[in-house]
Amino acid sequence: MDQTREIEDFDAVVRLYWPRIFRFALASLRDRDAAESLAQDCFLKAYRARQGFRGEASLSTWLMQIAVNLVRDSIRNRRLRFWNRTRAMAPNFDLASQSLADQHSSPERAVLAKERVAAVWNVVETLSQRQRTVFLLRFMEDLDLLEIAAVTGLREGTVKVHLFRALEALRKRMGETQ
Amino acid sequence: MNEHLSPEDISRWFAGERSSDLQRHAGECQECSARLDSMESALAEFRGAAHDWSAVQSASAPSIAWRPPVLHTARRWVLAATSMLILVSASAYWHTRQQTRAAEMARADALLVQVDAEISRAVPQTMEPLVNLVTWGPGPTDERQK
Repeated sequence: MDQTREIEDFDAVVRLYWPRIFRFALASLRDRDAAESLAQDCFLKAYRARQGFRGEASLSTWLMQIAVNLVRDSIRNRRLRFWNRTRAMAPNFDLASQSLADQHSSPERAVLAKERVAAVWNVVETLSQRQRTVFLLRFMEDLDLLEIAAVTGLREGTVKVHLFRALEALRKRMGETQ
Repeated sequence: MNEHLSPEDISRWFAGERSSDLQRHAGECQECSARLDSMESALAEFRGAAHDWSAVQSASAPSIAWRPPVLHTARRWVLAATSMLILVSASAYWHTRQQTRAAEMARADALLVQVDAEISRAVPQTMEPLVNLVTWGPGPTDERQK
């Protein structure tokens, strides 16, 4: 469907893209309420600006651009409110990792996989905000480098550098845990 | 390229830097291929777990509280109209009050003029008979002339 026509049915747009926007916000902020609020803000901004959407980028990229900017602003504001750090949630993969259990035949392998996921998550927490954004867009949302560049406004080479640094941190951490 | 992939090569690979040498070696070397697979599966597991976690969090949320902001627009119009109404009413009230006040002032002024005319005297009281004698009023001289 034509992107500019797709945006006319905004309820459908919200239904289709809410999970992705919410997931990115949740992984970035680790606070469900904040993630919900951010996702709502994202769609409200998009709704208000929908007349200006010309379909040059995909609707998904456009929405993700808005979400990335909102996450950046939110993190900047949170730095000033130190008590919010204590509200950050650690992802509970016991509740959520059904796919890990399904992927691995033995419980031992599933436990190892869970440890690996926790290690990746710990590394993600230690990354700078920009590295984390790039990492999540690449390895959680499966965006390619050009899409990430479009969403973040960075050059493709800069995206690669951020990814490389994030992966170096991850590789070192994985080396420690293995 | 005969040497194994360095740790940096592995990071570079997943950052999107895949030179033909790296690709050729990864295709030929089982050890390096296994290292790449290990990293690949860790990242895939992370993706799956993150999606599951988000789905659980989203499902436990009450609902998608998306409201079309038409209501906000309508509210904004109502607010603007009410403000305008208040402004116009206040202006009209002020104008009417000013007019009423001006009319009252005019009445008061007229009354003052009237009172002033009634009680004011052109000459001091002691000189009044003299003035009557000289200027106006039927005095004894006039009677005599008649």
